[in-house]
Amino acid sequence: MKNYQNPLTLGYYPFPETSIPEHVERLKADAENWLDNDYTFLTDSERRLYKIANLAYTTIRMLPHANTSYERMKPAVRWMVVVTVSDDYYELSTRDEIKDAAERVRAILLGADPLPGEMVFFHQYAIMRDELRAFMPDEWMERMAKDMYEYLLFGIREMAAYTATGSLPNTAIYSIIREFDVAVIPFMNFVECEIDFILPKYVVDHPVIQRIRSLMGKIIGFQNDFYSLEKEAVRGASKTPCDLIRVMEKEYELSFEEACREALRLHDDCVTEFASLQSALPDFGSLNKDIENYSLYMGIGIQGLNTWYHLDTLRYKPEGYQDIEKRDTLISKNSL
Amino acid sequence: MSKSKNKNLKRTMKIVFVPIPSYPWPRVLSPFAEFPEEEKWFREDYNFLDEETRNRYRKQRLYDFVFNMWPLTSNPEMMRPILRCGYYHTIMDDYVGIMPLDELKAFTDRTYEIMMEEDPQPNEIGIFHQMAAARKEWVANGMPLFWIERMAREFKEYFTYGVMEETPFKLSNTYPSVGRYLLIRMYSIGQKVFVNLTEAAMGQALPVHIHDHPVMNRLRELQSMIIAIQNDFASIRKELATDNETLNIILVVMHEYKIPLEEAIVESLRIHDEMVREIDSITACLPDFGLYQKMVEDYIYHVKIMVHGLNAFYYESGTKRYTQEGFAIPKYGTANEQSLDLEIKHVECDYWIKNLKNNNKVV
Repeated sequence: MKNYQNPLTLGYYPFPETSIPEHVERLKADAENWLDNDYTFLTDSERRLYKIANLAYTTIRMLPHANTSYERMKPAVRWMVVVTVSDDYYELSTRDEIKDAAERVRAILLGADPLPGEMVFFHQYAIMRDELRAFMPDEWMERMAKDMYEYLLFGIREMAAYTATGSLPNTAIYSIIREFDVAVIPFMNFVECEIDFILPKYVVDHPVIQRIRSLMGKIIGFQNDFYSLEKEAVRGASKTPCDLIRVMEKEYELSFEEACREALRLHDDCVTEFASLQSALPDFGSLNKDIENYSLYMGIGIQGLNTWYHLDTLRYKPEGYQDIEKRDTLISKNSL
Repeated sequence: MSKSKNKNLKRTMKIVFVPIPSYPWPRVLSPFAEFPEEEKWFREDYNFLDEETRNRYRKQRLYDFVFNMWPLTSNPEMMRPILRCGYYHTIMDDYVGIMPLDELKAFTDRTYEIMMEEDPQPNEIGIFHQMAAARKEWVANGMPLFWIERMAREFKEYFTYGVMEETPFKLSNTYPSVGRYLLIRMYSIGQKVFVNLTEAAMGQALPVHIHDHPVMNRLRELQSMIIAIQNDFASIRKELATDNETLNIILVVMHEYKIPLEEAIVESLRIHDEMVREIDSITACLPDFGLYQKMVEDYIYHVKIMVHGLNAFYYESGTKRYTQEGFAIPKYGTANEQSLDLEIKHVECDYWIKNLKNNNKVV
């Protein structure tokens, strides 16, 4: 562990790197404002932690299109803050609680209103839904509602079964759970806000588009695992970590270095398959140009998030670790 | 790939050994062996085929692949609609071949309607009459409507994401990437439909939320891809010898990695065996399905038997489906076989690994 070298260097992926628009700073102020005024259950230390994570930059690195407006990106940043905070929160919840949350999020995105005393997450989702309604159609919102439900049910809920007991799944099962757990499948629906093009249902349902979404989930999930290890190398782990490297180490009885290599191979296979599907998309007739652009921006999102880890966040740096240490003792009290 | 005939070379023709895929799963034998009702179906519902084609189907012994894939059913009332589906899906697959797109779309829509609820007109093709009869038998034997709807939807996907996606590659004699190929074959092999018959054979359908769990989706994807590769191994000779048949894993791998036939066989088997292992990994680490845990385990057991049983059918039952004698002639396109400058021999996997994998200098 001491010698851990994260293989994901800046510009690692075979996708374009782009600069990000200036409205990111305005969005950053928004995110901090929400953390201060809406997420009142957080302690000051936790709040500071989410601020230095720099979640507006996460969002815009993944959605960097130059011609996208501030208004279109605002709900995406709102999503990023809710999901990041609630991810940590649900980590300590039971299977039933997570299922209830999944159903509630779906209901709210489909039009239900949160109750006055309900958790801030649901209120934020309702505001996001109303912001998005100004420019996104119902069909898109229904897809978002379904993807959020599946992220919580098949990702967070299945992963909690392992983190709660400290056991590890095997690689086959981990790859499936991680794809949902990392929340990138719902998030990447925002690419359509970004490029101002809505994928018709028959296009989304096509196996090639489904596979691109699924591979993106795996790539971003595995990518995050490599950065989490970097964080642990400095911080140490407070509980048994569940990541691709640990999973492969145990299942195939590998040394840590061998497991890192195997995990990178699996990650790289996903990237290769992603790029090969991108380069020969099915024939969608008059929509071909738009679908190409969509798949191009999916790849840009992968590269962009990698850039964020390197340049924009302290979430994985020593300054952030110390706060995380403190937070781990605080959050269990708060969650009650 | 050279298809030229050279009589002088024939005596010293190169032999390429192709391993028969093997499975760490049980092989179960069906209580059924014969199926006399086949003649009645051929006479009444498959009379749109000419006598020669019907003869070819007789040689294929289609009932035998059905018995091999669903051997755990001893109830003839449940076996009949499964047999019907085995026949109409196989014959339909040959029939649509490289049908023009407009005609294929109309055929797809009609299949959906018939599978969902409509009765065919007396003058409509017998495939639809068989399909409607099977649907009624399933419903009469307790299969729920959500399962019927799933069958209808997956037939539609078989055409849309399978057959229709294959056509451009066949018409232009070009190759998809390996990744893309597997996505297409996953649908065109027809297993996404056939795997549902497992529930008919069990006499109960998986609840929707269990069936749609991503782990179960992955299981069925793997099952489809394994059977597609298995089918590609069994039919490689036919595909080497036929025009417009670029869609075989071995040929796609040869093309993508620019490697000779022998090496492509090694790589294709590796892809196949990795998928077999992944099914066992999934089985070893299933999510908590609560009340339905036992049912899911039983379902997966059936799925493994299907894979093993179909493979056995190719090599043990004496089917002529992939020999010149047994080719079905599609409504469009040609099944004319050309001579090859090599000979294909299927051998047991263990024997192949021990003796031939190295001799071909491909490791």
